[in-house]
Amino acid sequence: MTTRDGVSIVIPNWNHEVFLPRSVTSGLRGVEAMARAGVPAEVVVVDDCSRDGSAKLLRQLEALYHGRGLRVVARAANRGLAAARNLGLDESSYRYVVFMDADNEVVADNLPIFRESLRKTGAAAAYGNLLVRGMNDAAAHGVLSNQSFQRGIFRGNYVDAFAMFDRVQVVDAGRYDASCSAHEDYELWLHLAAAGRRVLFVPVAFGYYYENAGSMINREQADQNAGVHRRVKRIFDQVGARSGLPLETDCLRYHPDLGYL
Amino acid sequence: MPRSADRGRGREDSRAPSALVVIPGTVNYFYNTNGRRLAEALGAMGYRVEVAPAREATGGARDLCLLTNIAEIVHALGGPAEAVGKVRALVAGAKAAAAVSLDSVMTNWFRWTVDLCAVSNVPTIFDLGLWDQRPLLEAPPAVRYRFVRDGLTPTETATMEAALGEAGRPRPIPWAFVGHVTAERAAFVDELVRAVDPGGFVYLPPLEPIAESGTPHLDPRQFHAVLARSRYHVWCSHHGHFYMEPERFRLPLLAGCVPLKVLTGGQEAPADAPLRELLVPLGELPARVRSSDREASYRRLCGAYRRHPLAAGLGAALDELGLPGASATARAVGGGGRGGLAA
Repeated sequence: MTTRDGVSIVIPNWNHEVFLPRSVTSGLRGVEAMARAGVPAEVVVVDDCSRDGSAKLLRQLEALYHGRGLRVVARAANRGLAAARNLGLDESSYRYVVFMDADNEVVADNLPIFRESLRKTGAAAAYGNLLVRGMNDAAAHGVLSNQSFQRGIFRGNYVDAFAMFDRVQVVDAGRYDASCSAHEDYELWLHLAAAGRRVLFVPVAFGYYYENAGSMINREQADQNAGVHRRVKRIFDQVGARSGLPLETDCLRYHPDLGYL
Repeated sequence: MPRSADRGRGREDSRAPSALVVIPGTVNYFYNTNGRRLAEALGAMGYRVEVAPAREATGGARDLCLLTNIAEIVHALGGPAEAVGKVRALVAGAKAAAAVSLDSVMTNWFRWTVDLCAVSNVPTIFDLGLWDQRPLLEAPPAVRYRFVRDGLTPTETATMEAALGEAGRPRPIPWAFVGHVTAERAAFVDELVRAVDPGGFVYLPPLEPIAESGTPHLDPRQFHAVLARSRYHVWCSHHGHFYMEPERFRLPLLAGCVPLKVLTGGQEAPADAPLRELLVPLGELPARVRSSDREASYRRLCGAYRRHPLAAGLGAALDELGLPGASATARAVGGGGRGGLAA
């Protein structure tokens, strides 16, 4: 496994053809921002056997932008989000990996801040503010991933998967658990925390989170997955003792120009 | 957290006027901070001052009792049913008493302050701020309103001068915005990221009490550290009324950072508002943040605060209550040095 310094922006895609130009463009801007900081980067789109026009569009985009760092990995069969992210981990050329849903955008110029945060602290992951926009809105109306990792997260998730990870540590921790469909990102956060890894909140804007009908922010859809949620809780806090146990990552806030806050 | 009652801030002369400053001791730390600031200003004016958290404060004969802030003091005492009697007892022995407000008079929070003062026999509200809000009062409130121009204590003045002396230190963070999250503030940050500079410091947690320690929020030391590395502290109100939040001007000032209050939603600054160059319409913000005028702007801000020490604003208000005030201030600041009473 490569541990080469740099950033891979992994975009799992499943039937998000109409959003791909936006997410891929922002990812390529991220590659340029990292290049300005003297750090190599790439965009890796993992297409999870989409049935819409994604595959054709991605082939065209890859042909156009391969020289700027875009690669496309196409699965022959649909395996789900966790498996797509895990494949992205395998395909990444660099140590630091950003997972970005195909309908979101990264704030490209801030990527060096997150990579620097991970490099300086040795943390497993760093996340920042996600500005929440409606699908057709030009301005945000909310913020996600906007506070530090605290014990309360064992009662419910408030940190999105859209973040930067140390690939070495995520692989060492066992990657995403594909059996926790719709809660794989929550499961990974709790797994990293329970295993004593550090997770940083970096107080700058990390990206734009667009709400749409298929978004996991939708309560109705989240409720449908309550069973998986109960399972995650049973794994990590089955007797409710978590609030009394040590948590290496409790309230960790970090900024490269400020240190720990 | 505040420790027990803090006595003897002023001179020990038993003939000196006496004051009790009551602070919540819990909930949001900036009311505790402002109580201590007022105590320092009173001490500089020659008062014998006692600062006490609400649960530890006791009544008695005094010249002055200040409540910072009455709503949070009532909260700290367990709610109005339990607190009103105690607040009445605290102010009963004082020749003069006032509740200190740090809010827009257009908010429910201020109306709640007025109501609590009325039932607790507190006759006066000191509006500790930067702009006299009388033009916004739709009708005379049930208790007396008195604007008190906020300024710096002697300790803060020394901190400001030290910050001014480090004007050339690196400030890699272009702007910082800290406050609880609302939809309007999310849109505001979106604009800052898109149009001003994406690299700003953004701390917008959910609304929760901000205690001095033991919460996930930034404590005063951490907030100062952020401002000390930031070029601008920008913010917008979480309501639609014009207001100059004194804390948001004072805290960056002490850290060498320039405060910029952003006027959103078509707000306009009144003609008599001070520090007008720091009141910026949203559309003008990008150019303002990128301008090369930052250090000159900071020097002008320091000059404005030198002209209005806290003791001067507070002293003028105490004069009106028949207590030693402005004249005592003049003695305290010696008519020279950093202070002075120039309006």
